[in-house]
Amino acid sequence: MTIALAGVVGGMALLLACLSGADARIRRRAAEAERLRRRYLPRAEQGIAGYLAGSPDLPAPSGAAERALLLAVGLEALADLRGSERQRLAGLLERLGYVAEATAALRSRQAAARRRAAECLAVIATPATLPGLMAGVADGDVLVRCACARALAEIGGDDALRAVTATAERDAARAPGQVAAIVLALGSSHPAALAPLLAGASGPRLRALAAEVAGALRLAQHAGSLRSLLGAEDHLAAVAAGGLGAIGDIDAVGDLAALAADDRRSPAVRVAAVTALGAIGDASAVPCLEPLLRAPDWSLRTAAGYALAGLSEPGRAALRRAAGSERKEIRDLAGAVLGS
Amino acid sequence: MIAYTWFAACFLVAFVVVNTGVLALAAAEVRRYLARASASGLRRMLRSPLTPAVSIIVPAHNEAAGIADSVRSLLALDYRLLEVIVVSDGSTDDTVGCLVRAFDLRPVLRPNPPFLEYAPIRAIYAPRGTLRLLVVDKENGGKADALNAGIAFASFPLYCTVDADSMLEQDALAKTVRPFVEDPERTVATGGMIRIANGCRVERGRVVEARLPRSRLAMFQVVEYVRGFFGTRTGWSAINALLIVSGAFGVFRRDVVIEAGGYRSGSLGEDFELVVRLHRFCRKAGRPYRIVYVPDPVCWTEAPEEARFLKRQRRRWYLGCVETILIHRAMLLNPRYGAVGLVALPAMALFEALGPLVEIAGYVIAAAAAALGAISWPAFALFLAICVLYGQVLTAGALAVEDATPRQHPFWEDPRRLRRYAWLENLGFRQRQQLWRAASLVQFARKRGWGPMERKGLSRPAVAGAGAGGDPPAPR
Repeated sequence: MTIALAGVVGGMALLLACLSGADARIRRRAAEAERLRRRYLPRAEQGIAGYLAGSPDLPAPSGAAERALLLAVGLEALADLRGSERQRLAGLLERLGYVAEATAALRSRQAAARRRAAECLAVIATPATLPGLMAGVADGDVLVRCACARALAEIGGDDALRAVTATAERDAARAPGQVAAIVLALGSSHPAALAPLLAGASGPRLRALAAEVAGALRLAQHAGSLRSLLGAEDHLAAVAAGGLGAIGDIDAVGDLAALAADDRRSPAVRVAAVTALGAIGDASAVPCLEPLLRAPDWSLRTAAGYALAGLSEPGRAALRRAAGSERKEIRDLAGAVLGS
Repeated sequence: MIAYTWFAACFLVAFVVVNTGVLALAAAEVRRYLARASASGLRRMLRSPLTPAVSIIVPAHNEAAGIADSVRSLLALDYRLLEVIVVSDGSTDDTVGCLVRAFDLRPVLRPNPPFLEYAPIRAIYAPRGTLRLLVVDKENGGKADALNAGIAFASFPLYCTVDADSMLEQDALAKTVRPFVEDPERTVATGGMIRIANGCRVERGRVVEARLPRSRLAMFQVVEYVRGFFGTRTGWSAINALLIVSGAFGVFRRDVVIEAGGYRSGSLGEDFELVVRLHRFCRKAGRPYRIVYVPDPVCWTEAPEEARFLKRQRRRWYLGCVETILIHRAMLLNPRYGAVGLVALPAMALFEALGPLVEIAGYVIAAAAAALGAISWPAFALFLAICVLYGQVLTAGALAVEDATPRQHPFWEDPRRLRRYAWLENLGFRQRQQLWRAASLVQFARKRGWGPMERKGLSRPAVAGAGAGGDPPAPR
């Protein structure tokens, strides 16, 4: 018994030594990275700032660490730049060989290396990155595919957009957040490319995402498609209603009013329709919204109150009438909305 | 004696197996997290109009001294769209007055949302301008009650709980929300790391220089927090069996929490109870879900430096843990609840709820056996050595996981001090805590039976920063 216990103690001591050794190695590596960062970061930042201010070129990085840090600083700056400054800096990173390196790294066996490479190409996003990005959308790793598809959605031509849509469809369930970023990039750079997605050419997830993006970017050209989605299932209809509200589509007031009044639909979708009516601000919605102040559902009632407050004088008149209601909850609601 | 020896041996083996497995999962999870997270992804998320807006709920009770700075620092966080809701839970000091003066607030009328139950509202204040701040002044009802009121008045789909005396790092909210952006349908709650701010240099509600505390008691707590967050939570999160999202800093989906019934008023461990209930609710409803621990966003909080405050805090955490396990005992060893029911909750019940009793019983039996001359001293010494060494293994593993995680404020200069305290905690600190817990359990069982527990003013320790919400004891 004692020998067995002594063996366990020995094993524990060994395990402790291994873990402490591993921790020491991690710390040493991190401390070294921090030392290099402190040494090279100011030079990299000054170099890039100077280049953007008009210097003809950058002093060449002296080693791999400085090169990696220069890329990190460059990518960080690119994420915040637009227009000619962006083009200039992206061109510099291209000339320094980072695009070629990242394109080659996309063939790495390590998923982490491919992800870094894809992210680098996606941020630089110059025409020279296109071959790498097109290869990346066929990668086996979902994050590599999505990063490449996101960049292609911004800079790609028709062929690239087909690959983007195919990637978005393929990964909509596995990586919904990444696919949302792809659809957003598509909507920002090629708004017309959302039309087939909104028409239901792809699955319901992509359709809902496209509707959300059309609303978030206020793409008035898709208002018709969003209106046609008001009759779809609740989640999609609520997203479409929100989008129409954000766009401020006056033509949708009738459909939204019908949806808001439809007591067969869920309160959530009716609330979305009511909120959209308030956001559009067209007084013709008052006759639809006023009865909803008496709705049994609190959220619907309250949304109707705040929506009426956004419909200028006719809406406020409806609220003043409600303030005289015999029902306390309606009086309180109208009072709160009028007083806010 | 023999029966206890066998029981203790089995207990230790189970402890080693479960905790080693969880530590290995934690290491794998941090590796996976680092391979996925990219800085440009976070910046893109902050600019995206699809990123969900967040209501930050700050329950406050007599926090006049620092509340205005806390709110200012929350309003200035790096995030696309957020609102701050301060719920003054029956404050008897000038908490509300301070906010009214600092942000030029005026009383407003708001419809009273009926979603959750909470104590009556006294008044609601909002700024005259466009600042997204709401102050809800209500009757005292406890922290859970204040959080329920905050959820009811929140406007956005996600809400974040932050203690009034805690400080978030600039990008902490964005990092904690990221799982909701990556997987919006399944993610229902996320939590970040809580670090101890004692010893740090703080300016205007922000930690500007991180240092380890000078106080021994606070240092022991730093070791516990590192072990609890990096060694344990990260690992449980890897198999979707995370049981605790700190009340001091967590993000939740508002609609799911409302559906699940909100915080349980009167609970001593309302944060722990809510997370266990969310597991239960989602599993019962057959809804795919994730509750995620994100290892690198940091919330700084002040730890108690006096034994009496620590005792009060730990008593509350421990009884909250016992209470939650009793409430959800139907989940124990129930395959319907997956890894939560089969492993995480039983481990919590065995090692956390019963652990103090087992340990205290061990000391008593060993002393009795020694007095009777019925002890094998070499075997006893080796058994003790195994217990202490395994504690060090867990600490070293957690420190390695922590060191692999990127941080804004690294402690490169202090690793040896941390390790020294990991050894020192075996010389009194741990035993004292176990005694507090065992005593509070006995007292609790004797006074109240095992029925519903009445809250007795332990919701906020009298010391600033002792954590209005907190974690059940960090598993060892």
